[in-house]
Amino acid sequence: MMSGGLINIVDLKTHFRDRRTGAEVKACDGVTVSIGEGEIVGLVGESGCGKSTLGRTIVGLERPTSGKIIFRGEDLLSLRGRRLAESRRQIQYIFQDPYSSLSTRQTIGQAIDEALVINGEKNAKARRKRTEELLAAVGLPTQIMDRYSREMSGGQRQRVCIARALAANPKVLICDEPVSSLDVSIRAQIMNLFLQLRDEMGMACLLIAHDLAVVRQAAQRVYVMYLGRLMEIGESGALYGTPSHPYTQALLSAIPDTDPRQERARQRVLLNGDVPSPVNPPTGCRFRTRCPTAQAICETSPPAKVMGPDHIAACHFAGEVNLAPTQH
Amino acid sequence: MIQTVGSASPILDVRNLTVTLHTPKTSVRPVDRVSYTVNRGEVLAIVGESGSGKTILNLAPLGLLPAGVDSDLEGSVKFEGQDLLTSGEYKLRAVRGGGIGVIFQDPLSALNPVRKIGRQIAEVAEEHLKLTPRAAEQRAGELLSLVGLPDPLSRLQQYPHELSGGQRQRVGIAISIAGEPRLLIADEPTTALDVTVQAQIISLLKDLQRRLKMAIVIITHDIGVVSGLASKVAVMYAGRLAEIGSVDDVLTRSVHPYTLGLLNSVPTLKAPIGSRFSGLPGSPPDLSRRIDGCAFTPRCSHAIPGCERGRPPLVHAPGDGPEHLAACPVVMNKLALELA
Amino acid sequence: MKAIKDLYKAVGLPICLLIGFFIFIAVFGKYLSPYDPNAQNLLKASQTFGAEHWFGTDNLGRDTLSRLIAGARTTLFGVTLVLLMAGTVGMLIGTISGYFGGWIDEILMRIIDFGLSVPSLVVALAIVGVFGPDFWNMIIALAIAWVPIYARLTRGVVAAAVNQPYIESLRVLGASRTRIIVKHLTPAALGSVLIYASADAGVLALNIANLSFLGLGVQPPQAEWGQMLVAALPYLEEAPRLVILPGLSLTVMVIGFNLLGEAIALAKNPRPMSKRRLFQRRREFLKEIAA
Ligand SMILES: Nc1ncnc2c1ncn2[C@@H]1O[C@H](COP(=O)(O)OP(=O)(O)OP(=O)(O)O)[C@@H](O)[C@H]1O
Ligand SMILES: Nc1ncnc2c1ncn2[C@@H]1O[C@H](COP(=O)(O)OP(=O)(O)OP(=O)(O)O)[C@@H](O)[C@H]1O
Ligand code: SF4
Ligand SMILES: [Mg+2]
Ligand SMILES: [Mg+2]
Repeated sequence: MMSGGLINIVDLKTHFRDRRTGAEVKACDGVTVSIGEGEIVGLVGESGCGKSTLGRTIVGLERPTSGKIIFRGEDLLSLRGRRLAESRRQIQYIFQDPYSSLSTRQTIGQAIDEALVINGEKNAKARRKRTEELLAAVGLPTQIMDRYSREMSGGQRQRVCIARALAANPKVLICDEPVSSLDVSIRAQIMNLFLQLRDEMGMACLLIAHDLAVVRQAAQRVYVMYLGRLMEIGESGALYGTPSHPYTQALLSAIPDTDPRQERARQRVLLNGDVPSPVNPPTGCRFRTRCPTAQAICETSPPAKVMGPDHIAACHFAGEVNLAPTQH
Repeated sequence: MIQTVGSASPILDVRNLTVTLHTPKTSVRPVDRVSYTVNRGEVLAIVGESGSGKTILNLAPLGLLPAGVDSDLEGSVKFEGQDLLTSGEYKLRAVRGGGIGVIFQDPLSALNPVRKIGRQIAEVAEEHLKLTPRAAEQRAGELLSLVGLPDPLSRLQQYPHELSGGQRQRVGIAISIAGEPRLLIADEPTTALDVTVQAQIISLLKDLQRRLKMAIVIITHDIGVVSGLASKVAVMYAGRLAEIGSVDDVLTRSVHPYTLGLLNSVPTLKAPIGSRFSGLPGSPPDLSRRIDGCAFTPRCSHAIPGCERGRPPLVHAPGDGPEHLAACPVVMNKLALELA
Repeated sequence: MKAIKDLYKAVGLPICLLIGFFIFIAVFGKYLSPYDPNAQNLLKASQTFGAEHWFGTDNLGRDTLSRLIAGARTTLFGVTLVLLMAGTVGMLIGTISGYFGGWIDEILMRIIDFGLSVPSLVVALAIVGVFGPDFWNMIIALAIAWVPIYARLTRGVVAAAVNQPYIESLRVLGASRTRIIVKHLTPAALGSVLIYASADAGVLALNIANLSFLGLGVQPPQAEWGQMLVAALPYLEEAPRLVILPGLSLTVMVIGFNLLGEAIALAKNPRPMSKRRLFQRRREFLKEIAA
């Protein structure tokens, strides 16, 4: 599916060795994701399911155990030296916490300038001009250049981080929870900035988030991850409209409604217990220890069932059960 | 002692509370003449922008301020008739964990990393319920099963780092209710948690509140949590109450432009896919400066020239329940005109 | 420039004047001292305070004031050399250890921890013992003894910074290892190292005097306070000033550096306000709020 995308991640595995116990943590364990040019793709899942690990592996912050990261037809993992650096530069990362993403010793102007230097721009005048353009692109006034990050609000800092990432002329942004540390009323400003970058520059984004409503509204397609594996993939409309995997159904049913009258009438699936350890994930379907519909057959790996165009769910009973009829 | 206060009077009565904080760097006023009451068994949710003073409003009267900060408190905060602002540290200690339980914003920091979970819960029960160590230990086991931790007896012997985030938050809740409080203050108990765990914690709090007949004050950013749990809502902006009332009134018949903006910023599953997000422009005011008039004026789309003069009082919203108050004369006037 | 201004504000005028005085003396001492500090004049030996020799002379007739000034120079020169050497090497080891982590970190920190567990003066004594007493041997010995502290300090800062998003985003941008280390990690550690060093300078001054007092450091006739003390001891009863003056100079310098270190550390972690400050603050704030 979408194999012609700008970036195709194929069966990617990133395992860590636990420092204390020496056990193998299977944080990301065989994930296939593709992002098309100018497309915003969502990645959702509970804490610890490996979302950040996947994102960090794509940009080279973690070393993958196996798999392929094919960017513009070339496997990044087989590239070396200059060619690798060239490609890597075009995939940038936005961190969750804009506070620690900027050096306390640099002004905003210096931080962006440095990114341009790294990107090979030697002319100081040209860099200054580009810095101004980048700030304008993220909706910040030029005067902010001489300020330090501590003198700015969270939303402004996140804009600066985005401007700095744009300095590398990226084709893809990996955004790891880019708004979850920001105040609710500020989140919209940053989310709209991503939409604007997509529309105006054709920027592709992998939007990692645990706020399912934000992802639904921004992303064309959404991947649902659980314990290192993908559970369901689909166009936003299909996935949120007719979720086929019991895990997706449970996730969606857990979102509270802001209208108290509807909230009181809402049906929900309460999942019991916690996510199992990624050191010893359950055999077969990874979700079976918490799944309300689990049967004996779930101890064998579930097939990827095609539920519709671009809509796939990895469950033996995909589409056959409906835990919580969504009223949305 | 509880019986001496009539059950009709509120368990918590906050009047004109003003808190000023002084640190070596600066002074701020994060709580400015705030009044509200909480009745027995009621759940009050306090919502508002980050930094609007929600935590300080609740923790300062209990003497729970961060170290290195001097505070001035004015007004009165009566808990079961006892004014907390004039009570000494000794009396406050009896109230904290005894009459009032607190769940802190960060579940890990509230737990001692090097002590067993069982001991940490039992300690509170020993101190406030005057139980023997053995009885307290047993009580700790009961509390852990009450908060829904599987296999509670073996958990007693575990250390905080051996638990997941959701489990730690449950332990935090167990500690906060170990002294059998009549009022539970929960500071963002679900912010750090996943939606699935959040749903578990909310239904746990609801269940506890029903069974133990506790009143709860829950501080949160999350409107979804409010609508599922609260009976009453207070909206804070820049250290002041913008609006307060029953959950249905405030969330479905909002009056104050900030409340409207806040509700409008919450992404829902109803918005069209691919549409722009709606939020509020600008950022909240600096609490170390004097704020003239309505604090929301610079960000408000309803603002008229009079808004920046004179702080608008909290007044009754026309046509709504008697408890629905809001501090925006502009919208109030519009509503009154529509009704007339 | 702003950093210097902030530093001045944090440290305060008295301490700045005190430290500035010693540095001034050390740098311009040559032009200030009335006599050659090593020139003997047996005819004028053992004089007390007077117009010709303000602080008198010693048993060989050398001018005490000139020798005190020269001593300040020797001490500060020594302290600076040791701090420069120990700081540079320590920061290098610490940065490598913190940046690369893993087994490199493991091995380096084992060695450093061993170094830290042995008292610095003992290490210095051992090295001087092997290579013989001499100014340069003493400097190198002290520098080696002081390396572990700075390595540890740097490693802590670097290891904490290296996984911070601001460093990671530089890596994603494609910044070279050299750029990250030289432009970001080293400056991050430099702050802590300088703060520590400013307090440490006093301890080093004392150690230089100690070693010289034991005859293991600065050798006569070069003027140095510890060395002056030893030389004066036999004449303690007739001329106590020969002992008191260098002792006093040393004490004042050590206290000066301690105060400097303390003031800088305090500026980083401010203490709660005093009652008076709080009262003022309240008044100011009420004025601001009610303007
Ligand atoms: N460097 C590491 N060494 C060992 N284990 C790690 C490392 N980084 C992550 N893990 C583990 O891998 C798993 C996945 O972590 P990851 O950070 O990718 O989750 P996540 O989905 O991003 O969660 P969250 O929503 O909380 O950010 C977790 O169990 C985590 O403990
Ligand atoms: N330790 C402190 N030192 C100085 N000022 C403080 C301190 N704690 C809080 N404040 C000030 O008090 C104001 C209110 O803080 P408070 O923690 O009550 O906000 P909040 O509404 O709980 O925010 P959040 O939702 O982020 O928890 C802040 O704007 C801040 O300026
Ligand atoms: S009083 Fe004015 S500024 Fe304040 S909320 Fe109402 S309309 Fe907006
Ligand atoms: Mg993550
Ligand atoms: Mg708070």
